[in-house]
Amino acid sequence: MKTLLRYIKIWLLFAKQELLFQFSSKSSIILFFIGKTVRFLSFLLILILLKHNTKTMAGYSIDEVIIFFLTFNFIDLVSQMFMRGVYSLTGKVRSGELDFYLAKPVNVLFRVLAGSPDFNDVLIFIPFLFFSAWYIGQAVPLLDAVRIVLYLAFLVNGLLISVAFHIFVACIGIITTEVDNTIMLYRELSQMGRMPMEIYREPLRFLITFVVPVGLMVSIPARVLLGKAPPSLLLTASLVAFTVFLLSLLSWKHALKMYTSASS
Amino acid sequence: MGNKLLLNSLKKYWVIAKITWMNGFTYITSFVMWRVRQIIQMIVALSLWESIFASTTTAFGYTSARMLTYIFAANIIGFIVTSSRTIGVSSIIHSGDLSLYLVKPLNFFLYWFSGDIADKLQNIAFSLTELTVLFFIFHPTLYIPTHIATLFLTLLAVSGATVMYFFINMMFGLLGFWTPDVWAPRFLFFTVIFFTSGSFFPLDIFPKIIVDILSYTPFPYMMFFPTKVLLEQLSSIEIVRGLLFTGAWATLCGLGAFTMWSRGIRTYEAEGR
Repeated sequence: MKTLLRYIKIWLLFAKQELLFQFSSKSSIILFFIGKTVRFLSFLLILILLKHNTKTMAGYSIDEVIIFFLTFNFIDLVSQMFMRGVYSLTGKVRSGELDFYLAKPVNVLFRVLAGSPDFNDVLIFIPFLFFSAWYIGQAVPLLDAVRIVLYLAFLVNGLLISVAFHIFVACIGIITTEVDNTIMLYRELSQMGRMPMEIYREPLRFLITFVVPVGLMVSIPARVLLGKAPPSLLLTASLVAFTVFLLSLLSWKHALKMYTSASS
Repeated sequence: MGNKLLLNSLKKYWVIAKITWMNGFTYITSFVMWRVRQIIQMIVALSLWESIFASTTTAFGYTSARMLTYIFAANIIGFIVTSSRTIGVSSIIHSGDLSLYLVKPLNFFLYWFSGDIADKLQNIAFSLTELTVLFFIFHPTLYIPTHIATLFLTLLAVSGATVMYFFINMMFGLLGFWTPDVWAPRFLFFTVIFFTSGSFFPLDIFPKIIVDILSYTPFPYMMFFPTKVLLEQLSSIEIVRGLLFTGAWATLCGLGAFTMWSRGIRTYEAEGR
C-alpha cells in the first residue's frame, strides 16, 4: 500500500511536469484537439453513412459496429493518455538518457511507460466518455448491471493487453534503438479492432485474436455489452491477456539485460 | 559546357537519391515494420468493404468488384504520392544542421525531392510483391485502361499530386524556422488527408455538397482524382478540370513553400550549433 501511494505521488509529479510542458504550446494543444476530434467524427460519419446504405456488416448491425468503434476509442485513448512515454524511448536509448532512469530508485518500466502522460488525449477523452455513455444507453436494449460490470471488467482486460504491447514495443526500442515504426505498427494493428473481428478472413482473424491479440483487446468488451460473448470466449480472453502480460514482463527483463548504454 | 554542368548536377542528385535508398535499410526492423503497416492499412480497407458487400450487391452506387478495384488502385497511387522523407526538414532547421546544407553547392528543395524520389521507388519496389499477394487474396477486378491516353493522363495527375504533396510537406517542415511545434499541424494535416484524399474509400460516397466543397481543396487530387482517371470513370471535362485544379494547387503550394523558405532563411540563426 505504501509503495502504491509512493508511485501515485511520483506519477502525479510526472503528470504535473508534462502538463506544464504540453500547455506551454497552446496552439499545439488546440491543433491536436481539432485533429483528434476530426478523426473521431469522420470515422463516425462514415459509419452513419454506411447505416443508410447497407444492412449489416459481418452479421452486426451498424449500430452494433459503432459500439466496437467506441470501445476501441476508449482503450486507445486511455493507453495513449498513460503510456505516451514509450513513443520517446528511442531518443533516450540512443542518447544514453536511459542510464539516469536506471540509476534512480523508481521502477524503470514504470518510468518508461507512464513517465510522460499525454494531456492532449485527456481533452478529447472527457466529451468522448459522455458521448459513449449516451450512445450505449440509447443503442443497447436491456442493459443490466451485470453486463455493465462485465463490460468494465473486460475493458480492464483489454487495457492489460494494451500495456503488454507497449512493453513489447519498449523492449524492441531498447534492443534495436528504433521504435517509431514498431509503435505505429502496434497502432495500425490495434486499429483493426475498430471493426468486429468477423470482417477479417482467416488466418488473419486467428492471428489478431490469438497471436497478436489486438482483436481480443477491443472485440471482447464490445461483444460482452452486446450479449454476444459465450463464457468460453471470456475465459480464453482472460487467459490470453494474462499470458501476454506475463510474457511482456519477461521480455522486458531480457531487454534490460541487453541494454549496453553504448551512447552515454 | 552547359550540358556538362547539367549532367554534373543530375549526378549529384542521383547520388543523394542513392544514399536515401540505402538509408532506408539502416534500421532493418523499422523498415520491415513500415512495410507491414502499409499492408495492414490496405487489408483493413479491403476487408471492411468486402464485409459490407457480403450483405448487399450495391452500396453508394458501387458494386463489390468496382469498390475493391478502386481501393486497390487508390492504394497503389497512394504508395507513390504520399511516400516522403521531408518529415526531417523541421528538425534540420531546429538543430542548426541546416547550416551544413547552406554551405554546400546544393539546392535545398532538389535535395529533398531527390530523397522523396528514392523513397517512392523503394515503396513501389517493395509493394509489388505485397500487392501481388493481396491481389490473389481479394481478387479485385484488374482494370486495364482502354485508351493509351488514360495512362498519360494518369501519369500527369500522379506527377501533379506528387509535386503538390512534396510542397505541402516542405511547408510543414519549413515551419521549423518559426516554431519547434511542427508535429501538431502535421498531425492535423495527415488526419484530414486520411478522410479526404480517397485512400480508404472513394470520396463520391459522401453527399454531393461535401464532394463539391472538397473539389476546391487540394485533398481529392492526391489519390481520388488520379485513381478515377486511371479507372476511366471521369468525363473529359472532369479530367480537364481536375488536371487544372491539380496544377493550380501544385503551383500555389510551390509558391507558398518558396516564400516560406526565402522569409525563413532571413530569420535563421543557426541555433543549436
